[in-house]
Amino acid sequence: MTRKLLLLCIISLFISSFAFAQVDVLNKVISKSNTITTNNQAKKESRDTLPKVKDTLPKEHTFKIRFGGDLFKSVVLSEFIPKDSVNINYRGSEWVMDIAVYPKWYFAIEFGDEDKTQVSEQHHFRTKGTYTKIGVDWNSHQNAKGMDNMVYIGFRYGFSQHSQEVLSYQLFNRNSYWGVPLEVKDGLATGIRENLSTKWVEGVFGFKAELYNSNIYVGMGAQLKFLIDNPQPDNFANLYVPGFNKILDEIAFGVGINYTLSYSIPIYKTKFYPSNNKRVDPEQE
Amino acid sequence: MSFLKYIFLPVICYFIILEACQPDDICGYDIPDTPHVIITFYDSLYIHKDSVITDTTPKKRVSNFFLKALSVKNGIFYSGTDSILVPLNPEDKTSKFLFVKNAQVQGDSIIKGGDIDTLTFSYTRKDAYISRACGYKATFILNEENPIIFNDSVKWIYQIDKLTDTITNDTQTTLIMYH
Repeated sequence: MTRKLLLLCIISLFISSFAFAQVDVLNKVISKSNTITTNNQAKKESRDTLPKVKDTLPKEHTFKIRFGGDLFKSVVLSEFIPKDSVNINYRGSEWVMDIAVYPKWYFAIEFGDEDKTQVSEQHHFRTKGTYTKIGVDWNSHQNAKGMDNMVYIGFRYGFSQHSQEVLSYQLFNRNSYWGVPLEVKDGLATGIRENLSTKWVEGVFGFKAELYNSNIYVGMGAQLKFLIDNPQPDNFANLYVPGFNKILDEIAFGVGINYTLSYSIPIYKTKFYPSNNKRVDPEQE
Repeated sequence: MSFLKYIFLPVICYFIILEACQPDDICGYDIPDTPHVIITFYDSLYIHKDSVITDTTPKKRVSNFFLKALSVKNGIFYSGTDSILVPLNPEDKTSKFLFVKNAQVQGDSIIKGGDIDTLTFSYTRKDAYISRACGYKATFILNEENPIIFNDSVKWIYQIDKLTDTITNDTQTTLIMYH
C-alpha cells in the first residue's frame, strides 16, 4: 500500500515537471505575440502620439474544434503503474472535445471509460464503466490573432454508468476466536452489482497550449468534484466511480486531473465587434 | 487575468499530490465488528413462574465458567459472570461449544472439568458492509428449528429461551439460560 502511494507521488512530481515545460511553451507564445506588436513601429508611434481611439472595426475570429485524448489515464495510469492481472489492474481512457461557441466561451465534452481492480486490506473489488461530462469553459487568456491557447476555468456536469464487483473480502473481527479472520472469496457479499449511476458536478481549471503552430495542443487540468447523486450498490459502496475517482466515506468531494493532447481543426470564421463582442451580421457587410 | 497563469501551476501540482497521496480511511476502534451471541444467566426458579424476565429481574452468576469450542484448543474463562459472549464460527453452519461450570482452569486450558454441557448452535451467516476501512462483518441468524441442541442428558442448564433470531450487534441479548 505504502509502496503504491510512494510510486504515485513520484509519478506526480514527474508529471508536474511536464507541466513546467508546458508553461515555457505558453510563455514563448505570449512573448511571440508581444514581439509582433513591438516590431510594428508605426503602430507604436501612433499609440504614443495620437489620442487613444477604441478599435471599433469588426475582428475576424476563427472557431476551432479540438479533439483529443487524456494521456494521464491511457498512458501513465494504464501503462506505468505496476500491476498484476488478478489483484491490481487499470485500463482507462478519456476523449475530450471542445469547441468555441463565442470568443472566450467554449463548450466542452469528455467521454471516458475505466476498468479498475484494486485491493486494500479489507476488500478486493473491480469497478468498470463509462462516464460523460459536459459543460463550459471560460478562457481568461488574451490570444493573439489565430491562436487558440487557453487558461481556463469551467464547469461540468458528469454522470457515470458503471458496475462494482466484489471479488473477495476479509471479515472484520478484532479478536477472532477462530483464528485468522476469514477471507471470503466466493458467495455471500461477493459478486457484481450492475446498472449503477453516479452524478456529480465539477469545477475545472487548467490550460491548453499550442505546440509551435502545429495545431496540436497540450492541456493540463484539475477538477474539484462534488457528488449530487450517488446511489449505493447493494451491500457495498461506490468506493471508486469512473470519472469521479475515489470516493471517501462521508465526503462528497473528489479530485481529478487530466493531461490531454488534442488536435484543433478550424471550422468556421465570423466577425465580431470587439467593443461588445457582438456578431457581425453577414448581410450587413 | 494573467496572474491566473502563475497560480495555476502550483494549484495543479497540489491537486496531483493530493490525489496521489490521499490517506486511506482508518477503521475506528468504536466501529462494531463481527458480533457474538450474548447469553444472560438467570435462576432456574424463573422457568416455571409465569413472570416475564424484566430488566430488574436479578441475574444469576455462574462461578468459574469456561467456554470452549470443541475444535479450538483454547477457551475463554470467566471467574464469575452473569452474561457471556459466544463467538460463532463464521466458516461453518454449526458451532459446538462446551459450557463448563465450576471449572478449574490454568491459562486458557481446562485442568479439571466441573459440570459440562455440550451445545450445538445452528445458524446461517450474512455479511454486512460497514465502510471502506472496516470492510465487511458477519451477522448471524439462528436457525428456526433447533437453533441450540444439547448433546448430553445431564444438564446444569435447565432451559434456554431465545429472545431474538438475528445477531447483528454486541448490545442485544440473544439467549437467556436458566440454571
